[in-house]
Amino acid sequence: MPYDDPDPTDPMTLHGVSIETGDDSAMLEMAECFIDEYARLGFDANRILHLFNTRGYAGPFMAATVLGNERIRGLVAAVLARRGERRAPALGRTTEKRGIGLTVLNG
Amino acid sequence: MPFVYNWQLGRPMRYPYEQASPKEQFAFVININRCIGCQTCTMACKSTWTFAKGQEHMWWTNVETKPYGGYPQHWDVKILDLLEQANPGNQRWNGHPNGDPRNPYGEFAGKGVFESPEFVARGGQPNQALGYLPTDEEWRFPNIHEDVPQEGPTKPMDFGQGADLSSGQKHRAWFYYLARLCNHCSYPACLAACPRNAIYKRPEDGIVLIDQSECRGYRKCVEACPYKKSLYRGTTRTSEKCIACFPRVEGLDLETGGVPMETRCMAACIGQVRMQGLVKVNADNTWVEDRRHPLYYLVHVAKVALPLYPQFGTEPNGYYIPPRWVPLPYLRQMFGPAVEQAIERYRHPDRELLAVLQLFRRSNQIIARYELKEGEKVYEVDQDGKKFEMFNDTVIAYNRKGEEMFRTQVEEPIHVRSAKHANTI
Repeated sequence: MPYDDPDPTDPMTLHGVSIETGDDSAMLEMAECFIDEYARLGFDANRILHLFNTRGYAGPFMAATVLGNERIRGLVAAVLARRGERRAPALGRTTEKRGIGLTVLNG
Repeated sequence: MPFVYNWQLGRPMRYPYEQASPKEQFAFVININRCIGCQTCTMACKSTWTFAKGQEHMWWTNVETKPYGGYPQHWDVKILDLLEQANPGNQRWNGHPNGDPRNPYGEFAGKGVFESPEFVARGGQPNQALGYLPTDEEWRFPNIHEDVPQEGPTKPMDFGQGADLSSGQKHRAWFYYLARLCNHCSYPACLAACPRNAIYKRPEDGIVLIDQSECRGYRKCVEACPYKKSLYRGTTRTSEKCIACFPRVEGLDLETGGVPMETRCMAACIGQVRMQGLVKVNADNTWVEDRRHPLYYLVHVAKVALPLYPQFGTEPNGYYIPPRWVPLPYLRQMFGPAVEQAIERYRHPDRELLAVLQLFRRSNQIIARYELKEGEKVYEVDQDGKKFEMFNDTVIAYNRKGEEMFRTQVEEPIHVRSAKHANTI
């Protein structure tokens, strides 16, 4: 069997997993994933941005804190545009009277 | 010790009791890609089952931030370390993920918790499973330092400077939220470890319960459960655990008119992350083929949902759709060798997967079967160099009685309450 001598580069071995740190590519992908998922659930741009600006939604809020609001807005626009024109309502347009405040973070 | 078949390990394994299987098995799928860490499930469970004196530290369901956190702290790192110490250098998988439902993830060549219990035997007391007893401190602070690496609270109601995420104190690596509850394992370590036989697995739905009148609080179950979902209550001197909201699963809640209903943590999920079901199992606990059951589809057909730490060997019945953005070696350790395939399939979903994902949290009733009605193509885009086509298919869910529960579309319309009625029930 090829497994008689454990090879640390073998992806089937389980022990000694290191945790990579450094750039924000995983954070970007996470933010993109959240946008994609909630767009799939029917959220428009403003509702998605609301997730990122609400402290109680810890994951998106952390992403917005790390990446900054402008990058998040750009990402939302890009992901929604990829899903087709009619799924990309203009940013800043509120869907209802009470509206959703877009707090500016010090990212 | 008898041998039982563990399809997640892809082989037979030792277990203190003879092979047995329930008529149906309580199971659930959690989509980590959608979990935003709001803790609504945690609070739904807390406010239903663990609000009494002596239960202050108990969170039958919890959401922890990986890779930093855990409840109790470091639970998985400690178990992985114990297994590694018991079987150094040999905790690995052989073979490759495949389509065989008897060993879909290949074969685990290492040892699970039932295969190295002697490693932790203390004071001449034989153990049935490898495990450890978490300290009071490890139970006491769920989520501490998970989102911020700062010092913790120093006085009552002081949540620490780190609680302010905008303060600049942040972890430097990726993270994701892992929602956990008792996995109602097919081969529960808590049940195996109980010296009083106070823990039993219900033959009708596979839910694992502790008989409070039999329990004497020896905490053997707390020590043995590798997921640390059995908890000790000092005021009653007994152990307690998630009961899978069994009155709801039995259909006793008036809302569903006698058909099984999802648990509180599932029903409360605002992110529509969770789906719970009852799956039919064979005599060896492999799943009976049930092509139109949403959980069977996600676990055995689309293969996007994977068990949590299958190598522990208890055959947990909680399955997770792994997060897209996390480095694969970490995910392989947590969900087994099929994780790469699962992420690839999830990243490029076919039309049936897109439709089944729309079934999550559309009803409080447990879905027994679904049907698809094909719709028109909505759009086509290039995604990561691959063609992605979106079809507005309709998916129809049926309950246990065969009644249509609801039908929804892949392009689900959204309805927003008016400001006047924002909080009206």
